[in-house]
Amino acid sequence: MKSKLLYTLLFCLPLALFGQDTLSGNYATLKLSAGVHIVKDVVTVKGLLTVEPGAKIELLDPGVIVCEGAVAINGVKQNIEFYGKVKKEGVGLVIKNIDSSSVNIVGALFKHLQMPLFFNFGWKRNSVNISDNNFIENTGKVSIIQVLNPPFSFIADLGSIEFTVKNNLFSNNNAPVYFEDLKSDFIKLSIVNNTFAGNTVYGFKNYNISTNILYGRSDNYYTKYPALIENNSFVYNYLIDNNTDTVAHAANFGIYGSDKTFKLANNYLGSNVKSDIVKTIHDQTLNYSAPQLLVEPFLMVPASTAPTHVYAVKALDNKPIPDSILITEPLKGLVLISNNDVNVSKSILGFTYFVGDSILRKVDTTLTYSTQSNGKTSTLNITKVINTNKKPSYYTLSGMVDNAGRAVPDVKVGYNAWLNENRARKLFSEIIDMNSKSIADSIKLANNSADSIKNTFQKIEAPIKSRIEVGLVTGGAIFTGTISSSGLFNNQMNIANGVHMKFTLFSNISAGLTVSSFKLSNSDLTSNNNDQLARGMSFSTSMLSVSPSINYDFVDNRLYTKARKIRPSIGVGLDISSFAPSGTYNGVEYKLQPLGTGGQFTDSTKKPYSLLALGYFFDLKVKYQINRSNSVGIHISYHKSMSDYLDDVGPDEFPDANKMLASGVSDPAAALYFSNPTSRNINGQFRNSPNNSKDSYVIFGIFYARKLFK
Amino acid sequence: MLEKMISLKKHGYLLALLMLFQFCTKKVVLTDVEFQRQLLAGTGTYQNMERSWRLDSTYINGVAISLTTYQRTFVKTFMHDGIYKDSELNNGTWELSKLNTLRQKITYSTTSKIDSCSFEILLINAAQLKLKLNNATVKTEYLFKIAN
Repeated sequence: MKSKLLYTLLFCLPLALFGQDTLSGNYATLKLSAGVHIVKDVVTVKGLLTVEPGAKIELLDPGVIVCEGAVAINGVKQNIEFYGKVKKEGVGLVIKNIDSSSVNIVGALFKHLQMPLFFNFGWKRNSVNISDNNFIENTGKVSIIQVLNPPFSFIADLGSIEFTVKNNLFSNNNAPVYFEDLKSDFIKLSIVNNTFAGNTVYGFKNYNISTNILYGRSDNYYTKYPALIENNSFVYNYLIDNNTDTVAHAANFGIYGSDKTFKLANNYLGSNVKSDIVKTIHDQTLNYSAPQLLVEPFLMVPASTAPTHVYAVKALDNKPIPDSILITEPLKGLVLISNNDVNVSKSILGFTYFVGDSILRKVDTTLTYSTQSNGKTSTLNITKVINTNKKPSYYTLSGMVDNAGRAVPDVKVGYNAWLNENRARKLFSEIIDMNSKSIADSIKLANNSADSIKNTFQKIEAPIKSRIEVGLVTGGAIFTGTISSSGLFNNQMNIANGVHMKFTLFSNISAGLTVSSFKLSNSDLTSNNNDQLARGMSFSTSMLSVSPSINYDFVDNRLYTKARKIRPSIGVGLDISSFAPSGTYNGVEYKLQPLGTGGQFTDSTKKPYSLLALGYFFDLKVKYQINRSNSVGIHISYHKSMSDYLDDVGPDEFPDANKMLASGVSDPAAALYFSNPTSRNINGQFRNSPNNSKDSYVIFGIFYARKLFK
Repeated sequence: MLEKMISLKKHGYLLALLMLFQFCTKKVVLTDVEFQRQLLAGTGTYQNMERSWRLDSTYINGVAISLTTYQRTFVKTFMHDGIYKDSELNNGTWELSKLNTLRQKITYSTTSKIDSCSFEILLINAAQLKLKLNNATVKTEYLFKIAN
């Protein structure tokens, strides 16, 4: 009996010491003390959620903790951990519901999660404090922190929420930090002393507002609290193209909304040169309907109050190593420049390089090095030399800590260029694979769409009404059909006026609708062709045309920059035109169609031609964007008509004079004259000989266009 | 102030350009007499330097008289430059200085006699020409048809 009791105690002791607490269901309040707690499902805490130092909460997909009341996570030196397992990443914490309590998330680590913190729409608390946390290697591609707006009824409360994001480290994450409104009447947002380093925001090749590590909206609808964003450091944050896994753009900050400007001063934005900083932000420069970011004065180096990180890397000869460097020759060492002292004594210097010219085989190894620290500068002398045969390679320095033992973001040198090389080798490898596969079944292989998503069809995020542009068009119209001369400007030119509406469909594609009123006229007497001179015909017609079109715009429609003020476009479209050719006989103007000048009334098999014609056209425009709303430009379009009677001269034989005089039309003499103005002997000839050309015309001129809505 | 002036200047250029387009069309207006001349003798352009009119019928005091086959081959040719000739090898000049009034000076080939005559144009179109001989004791009308 004693021995049985002893066995039972021995069995239970490890469980007591190393036991795991699995959470599930609803809790009125929940207190998580030191130890491991597992969340595999939705856990809802109606009241206070308390997490004590030493607690480790493992969130496994679809594990999520929904907090409907107060949150008190008070760790010390990030000794509270919320983490997921690789390929089974849980969601994170969701803050929802209206409650008069506070949310305190201090000194915690959030790692390997899908969306560590999500403030759901309609949430409300008295205050939120997110401080001294590490958000590292979170894999979700939506947001690290996503803060939606409090309820609409909040305005009646006449209160505000103090929302502080301070001294946090965001590193090696795959998603941005998103605030629905960076300027608000309800939330007093303060984002200070944070470090955003080495994050890769996933998207496509087109750099836009949401593909930045921090982004949000600033509307002039709100007036009270613009976000205070100061003393933060943004370094090595990039947009990664989902399709190719290569760096598409630097991606620090994005802003949109109806405000004119947004203040982002006193931050370190990856450089101390403004022209380089501008390349890392998305604002009015790239989207003319967005506010302008006021980045000056910017910090020349990151603030020491921000979590420690390396913000520049140099070679041993003190030359800066740019983030785009392609490393083919091993480096002798690295000099790391950081905002505070960095302890690299326990760091691991990884080195990865390709083997061979065109295959994916690579080697991951660890290098040895000696260190020398001099304040905020750490020098690594690499003592193990690897011969890479000039193949692309990169270095990864991981495991650094600051003087307080807090994690310091990993540093990668040569990684961006290595990704490009990796992509090229992958494509080459795929081609080899495809070529080696049997295609005996003759089924066509689908096109590899890896790189085929064109920026041309990038979706427009702006509201529909802001994509509408209207304009006035004026210029000249020249007929180039049957009665015309070969030299364009040897023909008669008439005024052409119109109104134009354009709707932007995609980034480089727009649809247009033009209503034009113009006149076409011409005379064989201006021709340099003898047969046409002998024919001696002339005409004049008023045209009213409605022309829908589709255009390719060479410059992205979403961009408004001084560098891209000249915007060419080409297009094709359809013409629906009404016309009524006329001519003058003995001082009187006659409509020609009712006279049947082609013998339409002398031959029972013929009938008068339609005064409505279909056609198509090609269009070229060059627009000069004066400002966000207004633009002027020049245009030229070539129109081909499906009707051959715009000038009344179609493929009809010259009618018999006697039959014309007896045709019974209102004025047979005029009809006879117009049918053959020079009374030539024309037996068997067609009226549209000698050139037999189809009717066409050219319209060109200038236009003024304006966006009516922002 | 300067910006306003620049703006005005820009609008001025735009207006000038618009007016340029407005006045760019050339329009040739023919007088009635000139038009009648062109119907009678062509426009003076390539292959339209003259027009020939074959006698179709003749009326004396409103009564049609029968024409011989030879008479029906009579052709008057009016050249654009004012020269006249006909199928009987007579030649001379023609003049249409007043609407509906055709004056001719004819030198007869057989007698070398020079004669002047005047016609009232009763009808002219692209295919028909009807002339009434003025100052004749009897009302004489000739109908010609185009014979190019």
